[in-house]
Amino acid sequence: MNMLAERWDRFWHQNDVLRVRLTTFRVVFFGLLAFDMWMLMVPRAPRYGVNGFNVSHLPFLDGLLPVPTQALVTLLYLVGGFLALRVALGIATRRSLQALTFIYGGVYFWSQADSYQHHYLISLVLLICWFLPHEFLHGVDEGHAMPTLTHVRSWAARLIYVEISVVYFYTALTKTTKFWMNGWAVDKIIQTDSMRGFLSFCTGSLGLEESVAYAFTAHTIMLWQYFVAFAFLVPRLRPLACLSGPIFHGLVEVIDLKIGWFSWYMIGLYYILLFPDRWFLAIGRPIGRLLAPFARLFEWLVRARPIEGGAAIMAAVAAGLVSAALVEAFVPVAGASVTAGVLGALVAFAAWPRADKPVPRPLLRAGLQVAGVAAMVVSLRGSDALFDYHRFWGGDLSRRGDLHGAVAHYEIANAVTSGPARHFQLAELYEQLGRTDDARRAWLEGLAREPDSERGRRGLARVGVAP
Amino acid sequence: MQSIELNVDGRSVRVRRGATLLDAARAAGADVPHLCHVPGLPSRAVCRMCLVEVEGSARPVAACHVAAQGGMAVRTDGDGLAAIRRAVVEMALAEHGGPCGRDGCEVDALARDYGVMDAPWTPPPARPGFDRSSDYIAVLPAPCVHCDRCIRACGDRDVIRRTGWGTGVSMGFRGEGALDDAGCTGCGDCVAVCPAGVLRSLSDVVRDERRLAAASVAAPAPALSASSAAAPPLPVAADDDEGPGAPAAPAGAGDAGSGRKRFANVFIAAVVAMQVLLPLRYYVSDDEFDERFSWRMFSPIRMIDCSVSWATGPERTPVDARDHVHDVWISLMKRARVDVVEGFARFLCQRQGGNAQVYVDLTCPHPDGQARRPIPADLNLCEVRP
Repeated sequence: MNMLAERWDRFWHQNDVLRVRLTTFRVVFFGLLAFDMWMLMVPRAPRYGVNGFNVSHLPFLDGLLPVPTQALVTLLYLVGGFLALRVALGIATRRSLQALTFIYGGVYFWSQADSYQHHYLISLVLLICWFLPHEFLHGVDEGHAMPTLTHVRSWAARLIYVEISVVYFYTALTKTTKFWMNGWAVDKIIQTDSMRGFLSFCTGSLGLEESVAYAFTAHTIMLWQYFVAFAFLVPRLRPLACLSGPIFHGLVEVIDLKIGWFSWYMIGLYYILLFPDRWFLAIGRPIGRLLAPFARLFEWLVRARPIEGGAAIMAAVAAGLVSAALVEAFVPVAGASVTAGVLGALVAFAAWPRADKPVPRPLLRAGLQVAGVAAMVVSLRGSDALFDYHRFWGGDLSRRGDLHGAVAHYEIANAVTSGPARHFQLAELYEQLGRTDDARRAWLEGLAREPDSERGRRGLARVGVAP
Repeated sequence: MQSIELNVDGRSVRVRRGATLLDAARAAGADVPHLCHVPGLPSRAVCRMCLVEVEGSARPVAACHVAAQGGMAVRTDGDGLAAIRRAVVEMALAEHGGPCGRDGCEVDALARDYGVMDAPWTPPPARPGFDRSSDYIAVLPAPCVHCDRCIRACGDRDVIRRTGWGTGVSMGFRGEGALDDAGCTGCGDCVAVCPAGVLRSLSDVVRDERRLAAASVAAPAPALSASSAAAPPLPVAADDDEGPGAPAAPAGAGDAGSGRKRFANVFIAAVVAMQVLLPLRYYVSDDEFDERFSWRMFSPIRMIDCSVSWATGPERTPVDARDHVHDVWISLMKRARVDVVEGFARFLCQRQGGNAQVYVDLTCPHPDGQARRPIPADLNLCEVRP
């Protein structure tokens, strides 16, 4: 029994991890999560609570919680992304992480409207991350704590490895069915012609049936997943896993499984978690050299004399107001004003000086948080996130006959993108509502963006303008 | 930049104006020992280790503190200086409590260089014990030699101070309390400059404790005695990840006290059990389509689409689900997510009021060619699943 306890203790409680590895994990994982929430999850918010319908993942939640609304889920995703960025930067880390976990996991369990298993996995990883030794990692709050420290000890880091190992093990185990082994499922999931062409070429060159290639691929995937499940636990296997892992997840991207950024998360995790220390540091060195000016700037900011008292209060208020104004002005989503208020309050509160305990680097905290909100605005405006958000919402309303609502969302969708947009759909809605002038303008605008569209020409003719 | 020329040990050297005699000595290749001086920190000249003789000066001067001047003639070596330095090292060693044997101890190193390791020394007066209040830095004031390096490294943060007078002088912290109460941010600057092992990273202390435990030393070394009393030695380090001799690591969240460790153990067991056991639900339940917690990514079941059609009332009037709910729910119904189908049935039943009748025709093809009907088509769902 003692021996078992000793092995348990050694496995979990004497797990020393390269400090820069954990810092990199925190920066990359939470940085990615922030942009994932803003750019990929916010567009899915309009699917929540449509017409008052919802089914949660856990049946008892249906009786406890109200039906989620689009505005609330939008707010939670935007704020969740901001909190993830704060964790990446090391600002109020543990509290931000706890709030993020409740938001991310809460929305996932609250509704099956977005039920990818990856969200479940990330929810669990977030929970485990509460117990990482954040106070020893590099970040705004930690500053340049213990510059000579190379390793930190963390059972939570070990648990992340075990977590991923179990997931890989089950994904391999559940593939031991004849429909996987004979290649039927692989044949179905390969979405791209290039990959199909490649497999055909391989089998053709060897004079084999195409089905053999699918069966071979299926076996290879299953065996590889078993291998990786063990590699996450057995350090000696990791060099091979960290070479093959990115290839596997890269191929998943090639066959276009439409799983968002999950492959990129995994590729990042292979480098961060599996590469042996020497490889990790060797690869990280040139990256570190590239980032050296930023690191020096950060170091300088960290060492700068902190502001206190009235100046700190003014900085906190200003940061909060600027953040709120940015959201209010540039993020046209449902409940934007509330979101702006919440984000402004979060920014100000984190930089607000307190009597009981000094706030570490309040000016840096305030500045970086404002920069974080600006990054959110840029990512939303610079991508299709807001366009998708409103066109999905408009499309759903249009299908269910709420034409006025659909028009409102399509108008915003068209305003936030410069590429081919939803002008034709909008024009048709205007026509149905009898707004001929608006319809004409929308047909013309649509044709200006897509001049070869037959649909546009016909529509324009319908409202009395020769194309 | 203006420079000046002076003579050090008979060699002519040129240094920038404002350089110290220590800089000039270095430029001349002379090895002047020093203890309290750290390049980059303001000079205090409290240890008197770097004394040198300047022609025309009645007494030796501290090289780290005195500015070089043009035409000076400086001697860095000689019997008189050696005797003074040996005496300074003996005093420092006495303050230090004798040789501590710790790797990297600068006081021990000086004592070795000057051959005073066996010099008689008197144990210093008792001082406060080990301070582990900080999450980052462990403090053992006993071996402090009062070089003030830490005070200067801390600088404007003003966390570390001298306390007491004369023989009662000691290092202390703002507010006269523990380090953590003094506003320490754990930057580690003081640890980096401490020559005597007074301020150490918690990780180093933990590592030494582990080494002591591994070596089965019955009586802990003097430098760690207080720490050993404060916390029991940890077990021997594991070498599963980084190999033996891996650098020390501080105890992270959950590693410190036994209460936290117990919590960590319970948490670990709960998460691992959930991770391992929850997926089994898929294998023991009769719903072969519900894969939510089973980690069945891209399984054959997910490659198929069921057909779903809804009807209400005794005449079985068709209902288009798309008129009522978002497309994503219909996709889930097509994946035979039974609780979603039941949820939508409840939704329709509530909309119809009393005596409602809702029927669903859910037919799912299967890779084995045998179609499944997870819910019988002739079942009024308002009656069986209200």
